[in-house]
Amino acid sequence: MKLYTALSVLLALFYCASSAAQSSYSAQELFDRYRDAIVQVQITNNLSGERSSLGSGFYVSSEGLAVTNYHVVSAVVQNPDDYRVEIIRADGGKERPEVVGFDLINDLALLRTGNGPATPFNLDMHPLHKGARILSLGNPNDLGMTVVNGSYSGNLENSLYERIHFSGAINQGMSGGPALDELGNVIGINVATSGNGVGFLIPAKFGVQLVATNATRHPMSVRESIETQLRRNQERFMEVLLSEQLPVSALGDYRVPDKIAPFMHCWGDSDKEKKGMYEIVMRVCSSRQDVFIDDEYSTGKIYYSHRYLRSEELNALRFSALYQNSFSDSLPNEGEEEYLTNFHCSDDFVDNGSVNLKTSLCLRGHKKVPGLFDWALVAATIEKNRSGVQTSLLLTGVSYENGRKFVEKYLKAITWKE
Amino acid sequence: MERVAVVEVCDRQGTVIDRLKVTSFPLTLGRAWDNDLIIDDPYVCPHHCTITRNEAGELVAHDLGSINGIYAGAEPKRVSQIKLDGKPLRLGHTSVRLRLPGEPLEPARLDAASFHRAGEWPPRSLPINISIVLLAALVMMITGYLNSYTSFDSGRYFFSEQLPVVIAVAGWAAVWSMVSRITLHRFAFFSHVTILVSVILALYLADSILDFLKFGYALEWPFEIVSRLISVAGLTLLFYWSLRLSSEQGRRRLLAISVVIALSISGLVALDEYFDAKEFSASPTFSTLLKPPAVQMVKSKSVEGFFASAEQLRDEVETELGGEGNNAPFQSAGLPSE
Repeated sequence: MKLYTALSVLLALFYCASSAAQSSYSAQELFDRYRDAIVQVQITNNLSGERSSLGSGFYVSSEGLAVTNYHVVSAVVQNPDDYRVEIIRADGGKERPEVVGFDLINDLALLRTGNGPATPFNLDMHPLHKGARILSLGNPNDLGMTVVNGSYSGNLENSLYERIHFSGAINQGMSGGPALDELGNVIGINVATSGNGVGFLIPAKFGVQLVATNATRHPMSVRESIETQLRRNQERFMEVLLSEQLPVSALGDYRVPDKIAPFMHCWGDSDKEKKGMYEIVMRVCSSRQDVFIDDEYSTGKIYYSHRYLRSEELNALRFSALYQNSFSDSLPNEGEEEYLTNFHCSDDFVDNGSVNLKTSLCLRGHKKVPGLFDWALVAATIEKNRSGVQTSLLLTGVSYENGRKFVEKYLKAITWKE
Repeated sequence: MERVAVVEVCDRQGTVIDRLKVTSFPLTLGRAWDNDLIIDDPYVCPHHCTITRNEAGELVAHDLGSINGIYAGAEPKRVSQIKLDGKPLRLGHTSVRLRLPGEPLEPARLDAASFHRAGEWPPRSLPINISIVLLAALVMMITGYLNSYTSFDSGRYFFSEQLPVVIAVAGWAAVWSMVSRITLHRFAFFSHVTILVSVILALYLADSILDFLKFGYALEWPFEIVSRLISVAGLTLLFYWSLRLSSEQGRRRLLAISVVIALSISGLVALDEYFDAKEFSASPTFSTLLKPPAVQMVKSKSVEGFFASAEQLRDEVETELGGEGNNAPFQSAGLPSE
């Protein structure tokens, strides 16, 4: 009986060891196996002759299709006359690929060179369990190809754009490199880090989609491509925002829009004047992520903030001075003249059915993507002498109709607490 | 006895340096001591010319063969004789004018410096001037208090906010006082202080009232126009009153000068603002004025009514997009197709 048990334990151990040996690779083995399939992507400025940025990339077919991040090659996509892209293989060989497609929303680009490696990477969409080992490959800070050990920490929930949370150090220059499971399948593409071992990967399924659409679609100019992708993206997230009633929560005597979608992130704070003359309670919500198009142009973001101000010490005029001062600096300041028009605003008193607000509505257009607008709304309740709530909203990169519907809905969501 | 005439000798600048009453002609002119009119000018000959009366009773100057000759008024051509019918006679670096007793004269000027102009600003009374300055300081202190929202310390407010204003006003008044001292021999420091303080006070009160109206009617531009007009008027009065204390020129002329100065300053400011407004701004410029609820003068719109203005905004954006021709597409020929 004892012998049998010992034998079965031994057998079990042997089985485990052999199955591991069959399907799981060490970092070194993976690195050796895909040595030719992982590359450095270099962007060179034609005028200065020097490289302007670096990233990583990897082949997904032996015919020469390679995947990298869109943000790595954005300069070439936007300014093909001023920049060129080069692929540098592990053996030092250089090639000039074409950019054959990109996915702005998921920050991916597809490159094509004359020929690919014998063993290209395999993009795989199978689900992982939390804690699973992931190896991220890339060329951090131009130090040479490295393998970073880390683990899968699940997909980012509550994110406007789908991402994998990778617990491991992704550094500059590794962008566009593959992240592999233990079997050597690409489960994600390195894209960003928020430091201290918190990295983000683009799920491999978007890479699969990009390769697939590229094989079937008809030719489209860069402009059409950007327009289509941005429009489709705003339709996607605006549908979420417009579909349901906005959740509200109390702020002082009022109710104001709270976390209106899973992808919004809210923070709160309060401030009491040191002699107790007044107090301010703040709430700020932001979608955090936006869509990167160019170094000076990203869009597709929602930001809003509320401030509740109250005083027992100040008289009506002095309170209005405080109220006005707080009102004037309530919106973030972002955007470049090359891509956006000025804001055009209209001011009035608005009774939204519950509260009376001094409201300013502002609109600006996107110069390079017709039909996309940025909406801004700032409003302050004009109800009480010594308290009030102020709100400001910035919604970027949306269609006129979607924006108008949402801003209207937002304004109506500010009500009395009772 | 002949009618009395006066001969005026003027230097190159036209300033009369000598006058001679003349009862009979001919009259001799030159540098020599035996002349009737001795001209102290190195470019004039000892016996340069004579002035005689001809049969027709006209006065005529004759050159006596001088080195530099005689000229009629500003005429460049040298002549041997000149009929003196109002034009001055030029010899050497000197000109000679004949004044006849019947010539019309300008009426005597009003002495602006020493004549008290009843009803004009600022009043010539030190107690009134001081009261105006104190009133302005009080208004500033009260509005300072009303615009503060942390605990108000009047002493601190005086030193941080009012004292710099006091110094600036004193500096301005001192400069004008110097001008007045030079031109009309009067320092008039407190008058200049009163002028500036009263204008600032009036403009400040007007702007504060306009802010309430802008908020109350949720409308900026009509009040903005009024505000501009008031500031032009204020600047005009500031310069008019200051110039009245520093110049003997007539009122109309001073008023015209003041209007021109005020319009130029306001025009430059407006131009600067115009270019600023045209410049790109990444954040919206909206009306930030907020006042207590009781100040609201107009009925609030419904959300739907308010959002009707969005169409107007869209048109404005489209105009900006179309007008500048800057909606150039991303620079690229296109992606190659598979």
